[in-house]
Amino acid sequence: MVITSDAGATGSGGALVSLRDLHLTLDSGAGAVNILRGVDLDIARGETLGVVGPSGSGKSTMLAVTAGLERPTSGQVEVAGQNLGNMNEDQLALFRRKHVGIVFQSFHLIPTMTALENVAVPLELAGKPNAFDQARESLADVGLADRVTHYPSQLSGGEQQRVALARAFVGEPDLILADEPTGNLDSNTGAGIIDLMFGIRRDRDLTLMLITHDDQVAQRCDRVVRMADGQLQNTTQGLDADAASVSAG
Amino acid sequence: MAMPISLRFALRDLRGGLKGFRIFLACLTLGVTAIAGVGSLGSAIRAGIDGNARNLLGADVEVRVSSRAASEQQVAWMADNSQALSLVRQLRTMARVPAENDRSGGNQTLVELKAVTVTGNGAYPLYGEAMLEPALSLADALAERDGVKGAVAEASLLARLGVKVGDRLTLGTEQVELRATLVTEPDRVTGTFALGPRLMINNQTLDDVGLVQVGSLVRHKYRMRLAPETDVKIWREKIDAAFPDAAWRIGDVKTAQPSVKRFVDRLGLFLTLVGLTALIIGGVGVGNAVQAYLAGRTETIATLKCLGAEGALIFRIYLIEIGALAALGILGGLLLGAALPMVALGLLEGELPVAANIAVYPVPLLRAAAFGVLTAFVFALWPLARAREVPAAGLFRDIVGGDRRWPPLRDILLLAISATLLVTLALTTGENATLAKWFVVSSVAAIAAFWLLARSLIWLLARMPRSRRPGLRLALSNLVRPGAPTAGVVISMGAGLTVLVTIALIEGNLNRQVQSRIPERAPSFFFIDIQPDQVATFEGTVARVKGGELVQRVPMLRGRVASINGKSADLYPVDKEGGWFANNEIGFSYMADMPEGTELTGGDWWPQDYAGPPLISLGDHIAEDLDIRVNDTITFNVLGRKLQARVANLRKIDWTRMRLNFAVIFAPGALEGAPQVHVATASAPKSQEAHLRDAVSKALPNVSAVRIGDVLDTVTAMFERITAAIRASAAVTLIAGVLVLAGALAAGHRRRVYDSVILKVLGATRKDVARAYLIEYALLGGATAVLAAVVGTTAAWTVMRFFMAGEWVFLPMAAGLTAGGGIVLTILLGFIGTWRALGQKAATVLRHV
Repeated sequence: MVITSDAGATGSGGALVSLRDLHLTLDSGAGAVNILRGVDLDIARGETLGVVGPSGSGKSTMLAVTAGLERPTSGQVEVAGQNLGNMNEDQLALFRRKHVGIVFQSFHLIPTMTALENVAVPLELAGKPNAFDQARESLADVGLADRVTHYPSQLSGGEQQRVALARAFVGEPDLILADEPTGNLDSNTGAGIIDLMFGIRRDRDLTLMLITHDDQVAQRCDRVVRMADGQLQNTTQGLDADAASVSAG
Repeated sequence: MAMPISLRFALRDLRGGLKGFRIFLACLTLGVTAIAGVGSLGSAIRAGIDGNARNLLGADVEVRVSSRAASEQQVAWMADNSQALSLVRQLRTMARVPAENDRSGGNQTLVELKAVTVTGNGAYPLYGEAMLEPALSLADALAERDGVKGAVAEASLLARLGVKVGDRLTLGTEQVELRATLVTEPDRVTGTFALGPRLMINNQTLDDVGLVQVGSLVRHKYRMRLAPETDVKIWREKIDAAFPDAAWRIGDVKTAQPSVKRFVDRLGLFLTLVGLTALIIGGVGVGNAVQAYLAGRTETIATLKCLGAEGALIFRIYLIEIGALAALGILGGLLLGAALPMVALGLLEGELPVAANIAVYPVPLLRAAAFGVLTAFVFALWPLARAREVPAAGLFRDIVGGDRRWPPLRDILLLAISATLLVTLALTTGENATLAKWFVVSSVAAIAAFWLLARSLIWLLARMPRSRRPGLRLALSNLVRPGAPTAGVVISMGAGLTVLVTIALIEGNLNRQVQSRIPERAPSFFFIDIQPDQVATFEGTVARVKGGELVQRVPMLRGRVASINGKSADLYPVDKEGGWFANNEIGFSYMADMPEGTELTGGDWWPQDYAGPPLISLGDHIAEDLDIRVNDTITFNVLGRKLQARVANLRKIDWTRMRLNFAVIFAPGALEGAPQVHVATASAPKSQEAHLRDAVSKALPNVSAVRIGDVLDTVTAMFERITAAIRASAAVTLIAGVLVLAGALAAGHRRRVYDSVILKVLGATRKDVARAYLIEYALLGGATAVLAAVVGTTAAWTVMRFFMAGEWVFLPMAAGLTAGGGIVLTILLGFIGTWRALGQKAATVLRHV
């Protein structure tokens, strides 16, 4: 069963993301562990997808495979029309630079760089001449115009995650991958981050894959898939995210 | 122009501070300082020799002949072809306090006598100035006054004989008056092999006192001042053409002091190699520091990769950072190394053979910098390559690292190329490629051995049954857990300790040979310059002394090698192995019977009644150095006569046995008719030694007695100076090892704090935790020390057996004390670090974990 969006963009034809029969097995000291066991998934351009499921079910691994950070043992990954299986490590890095923005649970800002520098990194890597101007705008978009020279250690958790959001969105990627972005934040701050994330996504009409433990957050997506034991089990229709955001606001 | 992204990111990353790089900097600085310092000191001494060459030679060109004077015709040629000609003659003889002034009785000593020209334009010295106290002119001081000839002497001679200026000394058959002390002698190279203090007289006095007889061991030096425009090379060709068969040796300022230079070069090379050992041991510390630093950066690296940075960019960023820090460490080392000669020369005042010329010498500094750069690169490359391979996906699991992937082939190739460059640089450092080759081979072998032993130890400990005692269990698991610094510490501390054990054992063995083995069999005196017609008197005199015994007496002649298998001796470079044999005047003897205890390594000894063409027996070390085989021919020039001899056999020469021995021994028949002297060794009970010397000296005033004990003391003193230098640089290697240990302990500090807090939370007392760490360090230090003792003993045995051809005795005290010191040091350092860890409050730590 291929879990597709209602947009009906099955296969690589209309989908931004297309995962086909993904398997991933890792060797551990205790023997082989099957982390992904035959995942099929399509995400249409502009769609928001929530992924829920218990710890260790393979959510983050699926996200890493989609970002080209982890290679599946078998199966096919296609993102933005590119087959990741044919790329070497450096080509994958270039692919991420161009097409993917990632938001982590633990923020993963670079501690020796200021907020502005952290946000500018993807643009600098892409060789953009006005990287810092764009980064400044992006920080203003997340409400941190007055925090540009602060280092991560000088920012609160919520502020750090906002910097991470600015960094993920600044290069205008096709796809935003968010791995439990509120997991390390209190509920109020988390809600603010989610609003901000959905708001920017909506403004720029980006595609989002969001992993979360919070069903309410998941319900703000167009579609929610549940993962268990390395397999996608069912799909439900989410609420209208934008409507939810409006109602929350 | 915009800064490249790698440089930009590297600079941002360095804002994190240099924590963890102190050991990195210390290791590099230490090694580079050692190499740059030794190199600069060597250059300063060489420059001192070159800059002072004319004074040290005392001439523009010097013609040296021994045992006899140059012919009148030769002297006339030299006088015609120079602006000034000065004759200096040197010999060893006895100076005695005349009986009427002798307060203690039998007061005499061996002196290095120098007779010089004092009048005309050839007056000594041609260059430089001899300073006397009181400030007389040398000519006045040495002149005959009221029928008494003058002499000047080094202050040490006055002290030794208890005489003062104005007193008289007996020299040969006459008395001389001490007119002044000799304060500076411009052509004196100090620290070289001298058996007695200097006594100086003029040439006329030497002729009058009856010390110069046929075949006497007198070195004649004809020193010339040439016109400034003279081309010395052409001058030498002219004199060679005029006297093609002259058995002399010619020196000029370009070839001044080859033996001192060779000594400086060899010791310099050896110390450079020891310095390189320190640098390589420090390299392990460099590698550990880079690894620890990059381990702290894995999250940043993974994040950059997630954001689209390629592996090559990551590699460049950290290469720039490590490179900048390495440059800092190397620069520090170069500055300290360049300054080292100034400090060292202050400490070594009077110990050096010549005055060194202090300056900044770029060549040794560049070489040290190259060693530093290559070492840093070789040791940093592995962790850098591993950083490139950090998997970014780990960020999703919050566990980054621990992935022990091998770097790609290209990095391994790069590592191999840099290691080869390092080896090549070591091999081309000095002229003695053999020593460097041995050094490289043995250090690679030692490091491989330590690596293997460390791995085996870890493997073994990991497979040992788990102890029921938690302390021991924790200690063992600390040693074998993934990422434990066990192998690095064993290699670096082990290498440092090995060098020390090796040196302690070699030194112990040599000392034992010089001090305990020889005196049992050594005679009391060498007697030199016994004329053939004095042999009967000499033997009778020795026999009349109570307990006096003639040990050995052999005829001795001097000559030079003219050619070897038809190849002119001039073609053998003087500064290469065996060069002394082809280029110097050598002493030889002749005998029918093979000397007692001789070991032939090739050919046969001649029959006792041999009466054929000239045959020789040759020392096998010379044969090896100059590639001479049995049945090859060597042509000698003996007092102007050419003598071709066939090599009948090769024999081992054990110089430590204190027997009269010669590199060349002729078969009977060839040399009996040539002018010669006899040399002898004789022994007497301790109480009769002075009596033996006095009796011979009284009966035969021209015969000199050299006390064997004095020779041994001189050798021991020289030996001690050299070993002090070696020991100092060996200590540097241990310091490097200690730095690595300290670095490894510092890197593990956080984990230890965590471990000790968890253990305390679970109810362990500080004593329990301390005991576990004590066991860990004792195991680590103990294993390292045992390995170092084994490898060091093997190395010392190899050196003694194959390079010094000496006997070998294992000295457990020397090895044990050195290795034991290593254990104590490891435990002590480990404990200092741990004590801090133990003191941490559990709550504070757990809040931050």
